[in-house]
Amino acid sequence: MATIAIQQLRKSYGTTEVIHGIDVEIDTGEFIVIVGPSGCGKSTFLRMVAGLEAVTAGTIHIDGKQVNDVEPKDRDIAMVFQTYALYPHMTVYNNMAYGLKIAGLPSTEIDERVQRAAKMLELSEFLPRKPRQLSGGQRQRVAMGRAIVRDPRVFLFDEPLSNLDAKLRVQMRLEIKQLQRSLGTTSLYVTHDQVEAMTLADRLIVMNEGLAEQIDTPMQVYEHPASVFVADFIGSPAMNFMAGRVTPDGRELAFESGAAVRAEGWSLAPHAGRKVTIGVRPENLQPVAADAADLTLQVVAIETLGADTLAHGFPAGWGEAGTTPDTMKNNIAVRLPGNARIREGDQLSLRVVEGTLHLFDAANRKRLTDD
Amino acid sequence: MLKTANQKAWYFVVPVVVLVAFNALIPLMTVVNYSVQETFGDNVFFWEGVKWFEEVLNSDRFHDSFLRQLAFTGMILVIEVPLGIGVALSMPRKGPWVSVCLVLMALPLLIPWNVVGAMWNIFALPDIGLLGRSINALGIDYNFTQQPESAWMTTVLMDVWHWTSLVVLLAYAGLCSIPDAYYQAAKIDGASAWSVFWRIQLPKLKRVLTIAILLRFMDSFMIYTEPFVLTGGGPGNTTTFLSIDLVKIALGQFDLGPAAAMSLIYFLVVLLVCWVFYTLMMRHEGQ
Repeated sequence: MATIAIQQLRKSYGTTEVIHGIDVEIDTGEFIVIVGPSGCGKSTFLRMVAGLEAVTAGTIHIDGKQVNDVEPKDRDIAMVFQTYALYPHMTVYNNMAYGLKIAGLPSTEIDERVQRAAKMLELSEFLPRKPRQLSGGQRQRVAMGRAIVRDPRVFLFDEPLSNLDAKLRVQMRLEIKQLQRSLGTTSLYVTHDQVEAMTLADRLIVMNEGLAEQIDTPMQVYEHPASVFVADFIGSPAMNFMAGRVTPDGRELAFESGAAVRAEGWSLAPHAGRKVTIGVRPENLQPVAADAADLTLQVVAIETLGADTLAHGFPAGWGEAGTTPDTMKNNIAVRLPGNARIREGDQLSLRVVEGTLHLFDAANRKRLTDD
Repeated sequence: MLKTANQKAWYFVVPVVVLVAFNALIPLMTVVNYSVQETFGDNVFFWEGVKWFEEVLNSDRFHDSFLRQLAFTGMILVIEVPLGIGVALSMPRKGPWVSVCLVLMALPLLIPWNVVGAMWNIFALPDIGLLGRSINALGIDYNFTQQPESAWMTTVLMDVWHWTSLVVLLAYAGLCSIPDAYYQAAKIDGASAWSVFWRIQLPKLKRVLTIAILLRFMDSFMIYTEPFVLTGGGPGNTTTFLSIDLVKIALGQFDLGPAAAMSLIYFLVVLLVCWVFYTLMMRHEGQ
């Protein structure tokens, strides 16, 4: 169990900087999930904490001790890999014991630790087997076991569930969470899957192009995304974005279509006349009578999910999709109850649920602040 | 359960059957034909049964060339496989030097076999060849046309020069297919370079090395052109390997019966060794 403090962490390959200075303080026992699209630098970040990549600038402290130049094996960490990286010709037992043997622990203690971890992961009967005789989920457990037996101060997970099928992934996700809770070990977990990120994390680090766009609890990230990128990346289906502007009197928001809405919870006065990107989550658009509507949706596609029905379309009067300037996606998605009777070609009158609008500066794409 | 009511599928196999017949079965049957009969020309044959097989299997000449062949193949395998793995391990995995190394490695493989023999013949000549002259200049008496040891050394060296690249390229491909995560996991475990080799790289190379050893075994066991051009099987019979001996019997002495019997024995030995080796190596795979 340990705290991790990272200051102004940077990484360059030659003249190309890929991590542009990340600061984060991680508490003992915290489960931190680093999430972002591929190529955002999340795995590089994790490997720097592990000591597998050299740090170009900045510092990493584990429990107050700077570890920038400490070898991976001496950092008291354990890592779980996407490909599991089990030693192919060793039994499950030896795979789990190997790191401890190298560390020179007495064999009775090694045995005790391996047996305990195997029991915890329900792997006891598989100990004499070789990795190739196991299923994907079991191999994943062995990889976890190899991390647990080390009893490290920090767990590092590099997309550990990405090679599993969807159902198993959900199950293992829960197991990892429970395991981390019961062990209380500080954990850093890298994933590109935002559902995994939301469900596992105590706090999220949302990364984009080598920068931490937002570091916060999952709900805070969901409800108060710091930028258009975060708002778009977290949540499925993604948030809807529309170009608009604050009216010159600073009292209302005007969509490109001309429709105007009041933005409860936002004091718009300081932003009078500013171009903005207006974001609204699919579940925050409600069907209403035509005269109460903020916008009308021309429905072009329906997705029936059972519990929900998703209606996709574009705002009526905005022309064909893609013609409105400065909207990342013209496509608007609405989450309706599963029993909603709606068909392609329908027009939906929608109203934004009070207090659920997200406003971003159209130029720098950051969340508008009230000052 | 649906079953097809006609036998049309057989027509689709016909091209393959014809191909295999022409390039394998018919030539092989010709050899079998010669191996059990005696002929004095004019296409007149006399049945001889297993006489030629008995003769070949009991001849000292066959025993000698067979042992020579085993020794040669054993030597080149012992040198080429570890050397090839070593070179592959020391080659860069990324960067501009990768393609340079690969091209350099592939070069010897692109040279026709008789050219390799001729090159090494000249290279190793004790009076004018760079290699031969240099060795003699070091005070070592070296003459591959007269001393069996020198002839053997030169032949083995030539084969190593010509074919180690094949092992290198196969092993290199195998190494490149090992995900980085294995090395990272080993680093976190604090594993030494030796245990990384022994516990990750070698097990992961098992399949390609099996193929490499099989290819090198078959090729070297049937080697003909290079030693024929280099030493002609000499001095004396000291580098007369199985193929060279076979050609001497078949075309030199025109003893077609024994030559055919020897061919079949030769063929069965190669087949048997390959099958046993492959089965042993792969018995735990695919579970």
